Amino acid sequence: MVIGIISEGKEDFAVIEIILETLAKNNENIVFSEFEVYPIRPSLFQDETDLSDTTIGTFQGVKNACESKTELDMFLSIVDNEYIVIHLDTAEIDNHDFVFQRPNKNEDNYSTELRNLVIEIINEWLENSHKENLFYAIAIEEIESWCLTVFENKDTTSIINSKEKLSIFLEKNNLTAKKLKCNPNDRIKYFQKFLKKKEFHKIKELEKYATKNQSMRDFIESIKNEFDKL
Amino acid sequence: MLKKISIKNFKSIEEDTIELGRVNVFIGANGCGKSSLLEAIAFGSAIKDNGKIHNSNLIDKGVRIAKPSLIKSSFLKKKSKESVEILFDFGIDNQVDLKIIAEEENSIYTDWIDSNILNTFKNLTNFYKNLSTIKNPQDLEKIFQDVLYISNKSSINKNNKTEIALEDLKGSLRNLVQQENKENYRNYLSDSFSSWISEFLIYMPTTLALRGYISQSDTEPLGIYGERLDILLEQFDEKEAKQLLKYNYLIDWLDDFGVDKNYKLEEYALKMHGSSSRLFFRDKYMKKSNNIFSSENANEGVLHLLFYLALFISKETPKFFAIDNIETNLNPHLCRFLMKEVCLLAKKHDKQVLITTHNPAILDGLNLKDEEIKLFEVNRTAEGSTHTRQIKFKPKKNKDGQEISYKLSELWTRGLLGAIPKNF
Repeated sequence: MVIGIISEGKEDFAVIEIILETLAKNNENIVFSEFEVYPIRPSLFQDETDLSDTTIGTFQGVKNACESKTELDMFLSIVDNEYIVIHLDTAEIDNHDFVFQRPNKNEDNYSTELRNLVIEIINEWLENSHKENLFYAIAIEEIESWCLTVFENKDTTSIINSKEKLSIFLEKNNLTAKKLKCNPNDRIKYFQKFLKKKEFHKIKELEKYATKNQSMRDFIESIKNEFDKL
Repeated sequence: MLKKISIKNFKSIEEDTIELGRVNVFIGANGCGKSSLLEAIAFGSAIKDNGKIHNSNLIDKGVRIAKPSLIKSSFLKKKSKESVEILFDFGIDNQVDLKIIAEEENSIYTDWIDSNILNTFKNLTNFYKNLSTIKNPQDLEKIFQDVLYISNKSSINKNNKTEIALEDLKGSLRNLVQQENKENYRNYLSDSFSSWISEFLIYMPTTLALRGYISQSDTEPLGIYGERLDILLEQFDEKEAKQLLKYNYLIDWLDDFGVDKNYKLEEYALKMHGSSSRLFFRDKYMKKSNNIFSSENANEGVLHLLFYLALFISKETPKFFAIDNIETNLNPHLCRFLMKEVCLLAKKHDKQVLITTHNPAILDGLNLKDEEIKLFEVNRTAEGSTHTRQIKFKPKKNKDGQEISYKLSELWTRGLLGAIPKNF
């Protein structure tokens, strides 16, 4: 089984990849030696000509990929390429050219409701195509809040500026790129390394972390349910 | 033809099985294990009738030599296994299953041996020991009769039944058992192995060898780096030559090429002394009195193209072989065309080939609707072991009922086939 990922950035890809691998490795319906995860967007083939495209690695890039559907169609044309994960951070969702009404933040199921609304928007972009092949990695508000679950004892959903907070924690915990012997520009490898160091690749740990973030939990549940059905 | 190959415990390949076609192309990031796959096949193919593999055979075939602990898989947190296992499956109950172990575990110079024959050798050693303790000719005759019965031999020389001939009888018995053992192993390897697998080589032509400057490989008729292309072409019969000449049009400037049979190139100052190649080319854009030049001055593309065409057309070259990085020195358009022709030539001349490439244009010469043509993506799993998967299209039609297809090169360059490094 091969799963493609359309994400805003490379760090997002790294986080989603390790979660998928951990879930696949621990599901008896999946032959793990045949399990692969590919980045569809942002493309690793982004070249010097592409630099003029300012949407690469952004929310708008994900929207464009969904609206054109080209890469989804191409990816799913190949045997064993079964699913695509579409990632979005909700942090900037209000700043775009479509009408969006957030649910009430004080509601208990704010995260899940917001996730469902974003999924509806993605499906609109896709004209409701490919639904049976899609997983939605909707991070509220940024995927860094999923990473913060390894440091925080409280729920990480409501943490403001999770990117900055994560950097501070990484520094404090001796998990900088330098300490992990990673090239700071190799964001995928760096995120993979630090998440492994914090045992994201172990199912028990991953599930324990997910209890501290509803949107992460929802994503994991959606994958587990689908894998269990195979 | 080889239908399937299963490999266990060879370099980065912990365990992998590949269902082969006639033309098999492998793509993957640098270091994913493509060359190791080719080497694993070459490793198994190097086994001789005596069940042994010698380093020199491996070097001849294009295998990179290393000490046994590096030839066998060595993954973090996993116990190393003793043997490399290679299963050649020709279909219809015709398999050769090798379990190969190093004779000297810590030596890079070690020979390797198939433990199937080693087990027989152990039995043989015990047999010899027992034989030397026998003093009674009647006991010996009984054993002799048993061996003859097992080996299906019909008679025994009655004169040997004397006490005086006891030692002779023991000697005959040893020879008989040893011979039987060899025959058994030869039969075990099967005719399919001998005729198809044992000649397997990994070709990786270099410009220097094709120009005749260096000669590192002694394999015949073609060296694995491109040595002796001129001699092979000189030996072409009329039919082979005619077929090869059909491709002259692929190189725009090429009028004709040939082999300097009378060693005149040097005499006419058409080449320096350094090259052993007698190949020459005629350029159609140059004056007729001055249009010949040797392989030393020919461009890399024409030399590589000629090498591949000769390899597939010749009846003297192996039936089953590999080419590592076929795209070297070739223009993308030429890559696509070469690949298409390679598929046709492989069928026409009954060749089976494994090809690795890093050039997307090679993929556009493959018709994956043809079941004999296969494309594989090679990757390393999360735990680092090499895994291969066949790339196939799902049958998919558009609203008008027309089949939807995409260019393989585009799928690869967009990263949708995998086969790219993920860390940058």
